[in-house]
Amino acid sequence: MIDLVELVSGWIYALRITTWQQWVLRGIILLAGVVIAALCLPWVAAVIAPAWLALFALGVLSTAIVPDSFAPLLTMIPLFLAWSGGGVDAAWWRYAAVAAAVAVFHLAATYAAAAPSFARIRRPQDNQNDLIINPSRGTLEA
Amino acid sequence: MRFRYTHALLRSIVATVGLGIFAAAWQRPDAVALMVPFVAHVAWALLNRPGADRMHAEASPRAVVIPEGDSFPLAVHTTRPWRRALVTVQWPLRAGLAFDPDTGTVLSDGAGTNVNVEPERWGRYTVGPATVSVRDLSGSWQASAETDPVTITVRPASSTLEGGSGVARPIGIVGAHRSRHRGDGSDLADVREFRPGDRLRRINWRVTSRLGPLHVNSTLTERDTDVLIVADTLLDIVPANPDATTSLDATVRAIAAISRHYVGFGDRVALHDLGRRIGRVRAGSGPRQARVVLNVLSRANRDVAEWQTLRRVPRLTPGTLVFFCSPLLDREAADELVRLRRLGAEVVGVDTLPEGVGEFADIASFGRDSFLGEAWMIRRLERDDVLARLRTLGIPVTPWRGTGSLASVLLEMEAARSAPRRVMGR
Repeated sequence: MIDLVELVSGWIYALRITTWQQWVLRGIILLAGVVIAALCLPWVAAVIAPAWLALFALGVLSTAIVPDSFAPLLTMIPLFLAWSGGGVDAAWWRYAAVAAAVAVFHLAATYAAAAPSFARIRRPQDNQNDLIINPSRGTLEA
Repeated sequence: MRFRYTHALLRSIVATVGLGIFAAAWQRPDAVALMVPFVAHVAWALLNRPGADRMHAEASPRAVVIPEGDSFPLAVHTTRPWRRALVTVQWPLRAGLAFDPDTGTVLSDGAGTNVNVEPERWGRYTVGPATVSVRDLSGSWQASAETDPVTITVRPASSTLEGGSGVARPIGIVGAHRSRHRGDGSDLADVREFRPGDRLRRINWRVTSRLGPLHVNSTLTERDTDVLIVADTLLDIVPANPDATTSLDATVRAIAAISRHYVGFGDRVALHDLGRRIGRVRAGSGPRQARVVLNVLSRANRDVAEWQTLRRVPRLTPGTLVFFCSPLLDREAADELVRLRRLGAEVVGVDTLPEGVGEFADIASFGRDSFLGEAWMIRRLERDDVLARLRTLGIPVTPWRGTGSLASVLLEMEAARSAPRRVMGR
């Protein structure tokens, strides 16, 4: 019981220290997932629609929680299945909308995975402290 | 560390290949629309490809010495193939250090990866190593590395004591304290008749013109003295509030203030540790000695296990001014204090027991099923009895509550220099 309490306390603490930028990115992931689900659901057979929706929702939620993992890739599988099943007769704007939503989902997951959720973003300063490798010269430059 | 592909790039490659095969095998040109974002991402990744370049990270400074209460920035420098990149620096948090940001983790685009660190109190801390991760702006390539740890030495606050020197009988040769001995000095002792060997500039012409024979001013010499600070680090008493001052904190700050005070008079200051947290400092004078004492104090080890055997002061010149900094809970420490008094030293007890420990209000800080609060009260009452007996032996004991704590004691000791003394009948 104590382990469970500690686990939940850890989750709550992780939520408290998450930066607002990460909240925005993960909100975008969820929003893009909702848009994709709304656009692709008509392509899914009614019999399996609830299961498809649950699987897709689980994938989107996992992506929002752990973006630096295989969760975003696995989330694409239900999408591809829906597209392959009913997308052939869809209007062009639906293709474009789904592609745009997938692009947003993919980019948001990419940048959410770039750093821990509690990393504070620092603005660039005037003094450059780092050295860049110049591949053509093979030298280090400030 | 070499750069490797990220999950994002893997996702794009798998989606591109999978959709490409699907579009070709099932003749589904509409799948190309879904491929577009992934193909664009792969193309961006190929443009940013790092090749065989490696990433290296270094923290600076590697070691720093700062006074208590100061903060300083920890900077991390990285070598990478791109001018702009997503650089994440994560410093491990540790007790006793406050970070800004408080998670110790920053993300920047290459510049501005400083994390401010403020130690909460004196001592030596090892921070790190920091974990540094670099990703290109497309999020496709990543490398991680660790920096070396950083050593932070925090010197205790070294404000000087308030009050006089308290030196009644200096035992040195030349210094700043008035002595009872006649000789070359600045304080007038009396006016007497001229004797062969007296300096001509000491002639008091006024008295001479009134009385006839030559009279000179007789002065008291000024001498320095030996000061020995004895630190009782056998125990470190921690109050119920973990952020409050412990007995070791009070001892260190008292030593810093006392040493700085007497170094200012030109006296020789030495330090002896009854335990093994601080160490010993040989007698020395001047500003260098003050720095040496501060350096030794800043390297004091809090985490040493309680030391059971008391290390006695090996030798002592009679007349040495001794400051005995101790919580006076250990019987052996009190015995050592009395032994130093009997060896002829001028002993002043500095009580470093944290305020509130063993008092009635402190009982509430302990658990209801524990009698530790009451036990501490009884222990404190026993200790008060010991302090009363020390005072009857002529050893003043004053609690350490800051730089003004010893002012009254030092003034009394200075006043005792000119107080009448009882002389045994001849």
